This record gives sequence, C-alpha cells and structure tokens, in this order.
Amino acid sequence: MLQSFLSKESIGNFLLKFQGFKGIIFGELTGVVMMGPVASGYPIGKYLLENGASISLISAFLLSWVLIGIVSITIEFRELGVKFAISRNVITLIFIILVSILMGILI
Amino acid sequence: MKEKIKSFFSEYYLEIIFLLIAIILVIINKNKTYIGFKYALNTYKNLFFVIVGVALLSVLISELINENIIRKYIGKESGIKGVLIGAIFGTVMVGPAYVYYPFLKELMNKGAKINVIATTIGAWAIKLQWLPFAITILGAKFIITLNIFIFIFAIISGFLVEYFVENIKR
Repeated sequence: MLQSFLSKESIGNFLLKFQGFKGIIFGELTGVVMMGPVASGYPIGKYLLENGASISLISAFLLSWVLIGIVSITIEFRELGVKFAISRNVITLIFIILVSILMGILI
Repeated sequence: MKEKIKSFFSEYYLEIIFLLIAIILVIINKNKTYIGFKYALNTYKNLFFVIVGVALLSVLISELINENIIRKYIGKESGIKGVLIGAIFGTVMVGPAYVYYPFLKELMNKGAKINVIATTIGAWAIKLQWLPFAITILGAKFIITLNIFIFIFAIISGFLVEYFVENIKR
C-alpha cells in the first residue's frame, strides 16, 4: 500500500493536462481504471488540488474510483446479470458527470 | 472465510503490481520517486493512529454484523423502507463491494428487490471507515458534499436500475 502513493505524481500530472469538460471525462476514466482502496486516491486528489486542477475533475476521479471498477464490473456481469450491470454502470457514468459539474458549482 | 482469503490475495497482487510500477518509476526518474516516497512516508507517520483506528473499526463492523440478520432485513423488506435499509447497509459495510456480489445475488434469488440491491451497491461507495482520513486530506466540505451526493444517487439509481431491468426486453 505504501507503494501505491508513488504513482501519485504520474497520475496527477497526467490528469493535470486536461481541463473543463474534457477533464471530467478523463478524471472519470482514470478513476474507473484505478484499483485498490480509495484511501490511496485522496492523496492524489490533494496533489491535483494543490496544482490547480478543478474540483469537478477531482470529484469525477474519486467518484468513479469508488463507484465503478474493472474488477467489480466483471463480477457484476457474472453474478447479477447483464441487464443489471449495464444499466447500473451506465447510470453511474452519467451521474458522475452531472455531480462533478454540480460539485464544481457548489464548492 | 473463502471470501476473506480471496480478498487477501487480490490485495496482495496489487502490492506486487505497485511494487513493479515503483521499480519502473525509480529507473525512469530517481528524484521524483524519492520525493514521492518521502511524502508517502510522512503521510503514513502522520496518519498512523487514524489507520489503526480504521482497522479496529473495520474488524468491529464486520464481526458485529451477522449475515443472517442482513438477509432477514433486506430480503423481506420492500418499498422505501427496504431501500433505506439497503442504503444504510451499503454505507456501513466495509471492504470491496464485489466480494459481496455473490451474496447479493443470493439475496436477489430469495426475493430481495433489484432496487434494494442496486441501492446497496451505490451506497457501498461511501467508505465510512475512510471518512476521517479523507477529511484530513481533502477537507470536510468537499468530502461531506461528495458523500451526500453518493447517498442520494444510491437511492435514485436503485429505482432507475429496477426500471431498466424490468422494462427492457432483450
């Protein structure tokens, strides 16, 4: 787990390249790929914040980290059914974009 | 027990992957990795007691909440009360949600509403045991707002997922 912090800067620097709506999309996609406990995501969020990334991007990144995962999608398909998995994950993807925009307005 | 072993191994694999990434990073950029390592070490030093507390809380919660009790409450409840129970259950539970998917499937087979199951998975994203840690790092306002949104979404998504699953014919 200690090692997970090491990639903090590379992920952060990758995400810092994107801004606005594109930032939300890339933050979301990166969050989907990220694995492991979200505890290692918070320092990345802090790093992003310190380097001027938008609240929306960080929200999208952290939300998709906890809500969608590659491992969980595969198991969801197998255990809970195709229809369930597709509808839940599509709804979640849309929700993350909406909430990220909202978070940007609120905070 | 089997699930516990499984989850332990999946976590162990991650350590190996991260270690490999770390080694690659050291080769690519020694200086940056060193700074990152120092930062990580510092964070751990500062948050050692928080992490110990988290571990104790995790053990307490997973020991106190018995599977039979869970089955009784979500399996037989319906309507908004069941949804709320699902949401609260998902919020309180610790560990990766996917480990519990077979258990959720069993609940569904026994007549639990799709609504409740989807809400539970949604609310699982609220990591109650990590909240103190998250707040120290990113600030209370950000984290609390984010988690309120997750909770609201969990309930809405329950209804939406149920609607789609029942109304879309493939």
